[in-house]
Amino acid sequence: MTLRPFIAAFLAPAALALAVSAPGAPVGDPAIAAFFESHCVKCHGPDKQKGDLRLDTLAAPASRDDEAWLAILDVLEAGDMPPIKEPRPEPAKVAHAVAAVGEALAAAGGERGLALRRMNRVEYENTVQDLLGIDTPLAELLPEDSSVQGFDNVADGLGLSAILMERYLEAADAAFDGVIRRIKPLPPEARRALAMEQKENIASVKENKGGTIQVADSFVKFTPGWPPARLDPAHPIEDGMYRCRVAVWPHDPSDRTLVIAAYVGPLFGPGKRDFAGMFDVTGTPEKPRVIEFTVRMEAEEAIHLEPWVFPEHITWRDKDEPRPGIGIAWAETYGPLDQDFPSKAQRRLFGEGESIRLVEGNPIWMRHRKGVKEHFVESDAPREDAERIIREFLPRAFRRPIDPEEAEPFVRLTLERLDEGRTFEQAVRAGVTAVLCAPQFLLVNRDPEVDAYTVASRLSYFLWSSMPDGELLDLAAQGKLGDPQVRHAQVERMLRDPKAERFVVNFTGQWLDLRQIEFTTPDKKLFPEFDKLLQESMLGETRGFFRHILENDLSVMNFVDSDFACLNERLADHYGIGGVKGHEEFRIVKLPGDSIRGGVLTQASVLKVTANGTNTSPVLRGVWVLDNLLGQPAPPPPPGVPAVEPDIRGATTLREQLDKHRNVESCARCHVRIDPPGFALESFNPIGGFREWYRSLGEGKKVEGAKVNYRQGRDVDPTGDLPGSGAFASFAEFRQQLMGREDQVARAIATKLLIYATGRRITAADRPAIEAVVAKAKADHLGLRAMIHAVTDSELFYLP
Amino acid sequence: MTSPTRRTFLRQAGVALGLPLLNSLAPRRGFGQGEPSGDVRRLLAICAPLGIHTPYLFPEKAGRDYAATPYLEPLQPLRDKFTVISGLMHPDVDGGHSAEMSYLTGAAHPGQPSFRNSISLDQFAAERIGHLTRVPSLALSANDTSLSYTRAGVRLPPENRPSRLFAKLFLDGTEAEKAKQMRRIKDGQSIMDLVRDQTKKVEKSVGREDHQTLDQYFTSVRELEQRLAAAEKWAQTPKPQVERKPPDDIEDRADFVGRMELMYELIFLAIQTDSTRLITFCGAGGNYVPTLQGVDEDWHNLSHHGKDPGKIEKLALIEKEEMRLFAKFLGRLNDAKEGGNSLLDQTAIMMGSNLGNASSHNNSNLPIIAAGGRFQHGQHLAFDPAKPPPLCNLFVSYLQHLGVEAGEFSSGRSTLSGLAAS
Repeated sequence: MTLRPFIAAFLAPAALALAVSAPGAPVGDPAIAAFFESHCVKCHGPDKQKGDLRLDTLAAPASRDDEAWLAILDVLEAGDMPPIKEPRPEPAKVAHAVAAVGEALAAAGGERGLALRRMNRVEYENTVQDLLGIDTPLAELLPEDSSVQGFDNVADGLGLSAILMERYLEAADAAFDGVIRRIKPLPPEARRALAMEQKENIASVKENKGGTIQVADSFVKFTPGWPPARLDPAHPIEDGMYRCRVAVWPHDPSDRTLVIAAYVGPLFGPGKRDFAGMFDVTGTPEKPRVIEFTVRMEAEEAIHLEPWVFPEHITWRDKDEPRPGIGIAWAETYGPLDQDFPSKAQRRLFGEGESIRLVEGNPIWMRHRKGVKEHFVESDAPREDAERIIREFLPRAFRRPIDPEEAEPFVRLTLERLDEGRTFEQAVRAGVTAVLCAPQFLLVNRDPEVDAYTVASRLSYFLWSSMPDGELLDLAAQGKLGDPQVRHAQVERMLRDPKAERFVVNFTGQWLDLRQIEFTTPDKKLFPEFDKLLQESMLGETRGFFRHILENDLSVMNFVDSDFACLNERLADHYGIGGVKGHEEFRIVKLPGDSIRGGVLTQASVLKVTANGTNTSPVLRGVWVLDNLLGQPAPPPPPGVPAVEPDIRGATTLREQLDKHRNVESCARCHVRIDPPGFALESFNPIGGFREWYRSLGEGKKVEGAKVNYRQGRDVDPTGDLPGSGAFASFAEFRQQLMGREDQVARAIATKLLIYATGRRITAADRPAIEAVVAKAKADHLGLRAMIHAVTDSELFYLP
Repeated sequence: MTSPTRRTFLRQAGVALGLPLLNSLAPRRGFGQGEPSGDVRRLLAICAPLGIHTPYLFPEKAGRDYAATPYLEPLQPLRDKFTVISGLMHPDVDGGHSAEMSYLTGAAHPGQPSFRNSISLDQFAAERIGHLTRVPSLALSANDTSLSYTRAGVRLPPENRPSRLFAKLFLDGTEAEKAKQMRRIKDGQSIMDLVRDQTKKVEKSVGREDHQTLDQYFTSVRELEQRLAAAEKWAQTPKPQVERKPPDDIEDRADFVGRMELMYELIFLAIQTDSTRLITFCGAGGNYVPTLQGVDEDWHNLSHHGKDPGKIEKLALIEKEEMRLFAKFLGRLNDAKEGGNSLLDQTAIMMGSNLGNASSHNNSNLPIIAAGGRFQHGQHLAFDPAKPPPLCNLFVSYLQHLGVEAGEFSSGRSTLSGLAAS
């Protein structure tokens, strides 16, 4: 045997690297060299170089990011190589080889990319809003961020461009506008509209538009569509925060719990409507339920009310029951609730000194008020005030103390505006905009060393997607964040804070792809039971489930299988679980022993985002499981492979097509592990319903006892064979196999948390650090909270 | 004077500081004038994000005497002005809908977690000829994504509001607005000046001079400074006037016909006034029921037809309408003359999709129509889907049409064989 460089790497110190790059490491490992020699070189050696890979001449890893070696490690660990036709190496030997390559990669060193990155647009909005105390929407002014390794806060994905820079100028301008309240608000008042005093509603009832009728003093609406319930006198006449109250009651609901969804937004025409909530409709015409919510509204904006009726009632079909609808008696707004003038945000930025005044400027036309003038901020000591404002603002914006000299250029820019004859407010606007465009503001992890302030920011961007608050910065100033106990107490405090909801939404939105929930609309003929209520409930379930595990520090294995679910009536009905009444509240429900539900794979949200609305693909769902629960993302298919094409005519199933696929060797090596999880998940349709047969729009039997347009197609075959775990006959058995892979699942979830927490790419070379997080969490029953603490203790969390 | 609400402010924010995307101050022919003279070359790339059902697009026969397919029917009056191309794909570009990101860049494996995009065709050209017009390039969209990417792989935000686009191209503000705009440009210049120095400082403290994020920060600031300087000049030049009222945006996204028609009209005006020479347009398509006689199902859903004949027929109704609108737009360009040529002859257009088969999310055998520009059209150019040349070869042909000296672009290594320049 000739000593080839690659194999030599494991044998001879002179041939370098793998075994010897760390001082004192054991020199040479003939067993590893023999492993590659006997299992790999035949196809990746001098005779053949499949996939353009030749191992015998491949140099040892040059850096921790060595792509060839990372790929080798991936395929070995996943079991994609050697191919199934070749003799299988013993699992212990594979594990040994994986560990050796992993160590070699970790030891190869090489400069790791910095954690330095810009904020993403969500973080930008949160940070600027928290910094200035405003609620102006800003994220929509910035272009979308791209994701790397599944998250939009990873350094590599956060590029900068001139266009983005230009948008930062605009966003800072918009934020500054949000600071100053230009008009003195009216005193708060209640504005009320009785539904049946509105001429539009009277006309709708008279013509029976959309079936609307009048019952008692209420306007009864049956569909979300036309005509709207007009409640114009309740509309606010000025911008501000308003407490809204609406009196509703159920009309002929039969045994349904009816829901009213509330939105606020422009009455007609362009502009977006903001979802204010969904509410169970209870009460009677005499004693309606009064629902209440507090939202920001602009002058003339309307409350829009949509009845959500489930099960759907179709008038021509369901003649045996009266049509269910929602009686709307009245609506009221009370506000504006925020009465501060000048605004709190203005006092915070400009300070409360006597020299700062709000003065009247140009008259502004308002329909309901005469002689109103816009206000602007003026100062009796403009130079002193401008300098003070910028100096006070800088350390807060930069999230750390700064030298007086560092402030100079910003102060100078502001004062130069005054010298040029700009107004005081214009000068401060320029100064604040400059601060908000500075790299010290827009970049996180910008300091070469990880000091206490960097730690404060890392904790806050991890758990709040925003800047640290006063308490964190104080602890940083006192040098206490180095103490793990102090840090852990902070993590606990931060998770109790309402801002932790940002972590729940952003992390589940990306790890579990909940952000994709609206990407497809299920086919109406195949899935007539899908409605907006179900979609909204799906999000509520998975977020509530995650929150419950987080709050109670339950084991992360609950994401694979749990004996509880977080349900409302709509989902309980969807899952065939009784005894849950009401759609508004999501509650933790102990699952009956015979229920197939439990774990995220049985949640309708995940089942919907992994399907395309019409059908399910075992490939897509399989890839999803591998990536998100098993930590083994699948490589892309080789070029030129025809994709499988779904056929809903009922004649063939995707499974049959995939069986053919897997007989091709180049496909088989990955599909052997991709397809099985997907096959198990075939037990669930694209909207998360359990199924034993496919719905078909072509061939198939008539569905007995149901008035539906689809037919009963072929039977579902949820069986498969999970490499390493063996055959399973059902989804439940498959899930049991996943439960047996505790370490792998824990590692996958820890990796996702680490990517999100550190904002950097995590690779196989980080394996020791990942294992450390898992080990720490394991010592504490693998609790999600314990894992989050372990992440904030990880060495990766403290790398520059 | 009316009370500006917060939302309307935000809607107008883009207008308020809607800077022309300029990166050079070189003196130019026809500076600020609507009517360029001479041989002005342009590019337009359109994507149908939900695919085009290729059995209704590709003719069976290759060559010049192909029989028109249902989708090519509306284009027949311009048969000599376009080429339908089958069999093409971007090598290694997969990932279903994700491939939309690589439609104009050709970057490999857009669906992968480690994906990083490269520069799109239009931006590559904009770096070279963008400075010749008020707006170097336009990234338009009938939904929320654009097709254009910078050199750093950053997606340009799309312009999807016709009202805002119209204001940007054709409306001069009031004197007060212009003064405010000028103030912002001036402040922006001072601010960028400061930010550049601060970036240097941060770079120094980080101690790694080649750091990518900081490099990009620098480049971005420098480019924005150039653009602000250009904006200052353009701000003093009146915008071209067109005989059309400012349009209202169509909020009902189901009215895709109205929305596409309006965008095509504005594209025509942008080309005619030489406001820009490089346009990308991500067309309509999404999960809604389009307002169209005979269609009662969600569009995205229909594209996943699963071979159901009923669904395919409804999908075809929508896609035929898309082709009719496209044909009408081409006709308008063909009728408009500039010097001795039609605007169509001056504009190389690609209309197609990143999906070869939307139902299976396949990214090979892409539906592509090459129209306009100086090419010998009038044929069905059929490549073997098993071994096609890269789609980027067409991009090389288009760059050369623009007069950009490029022999390669992304995976493209030459001009596209079979599509000769005229």
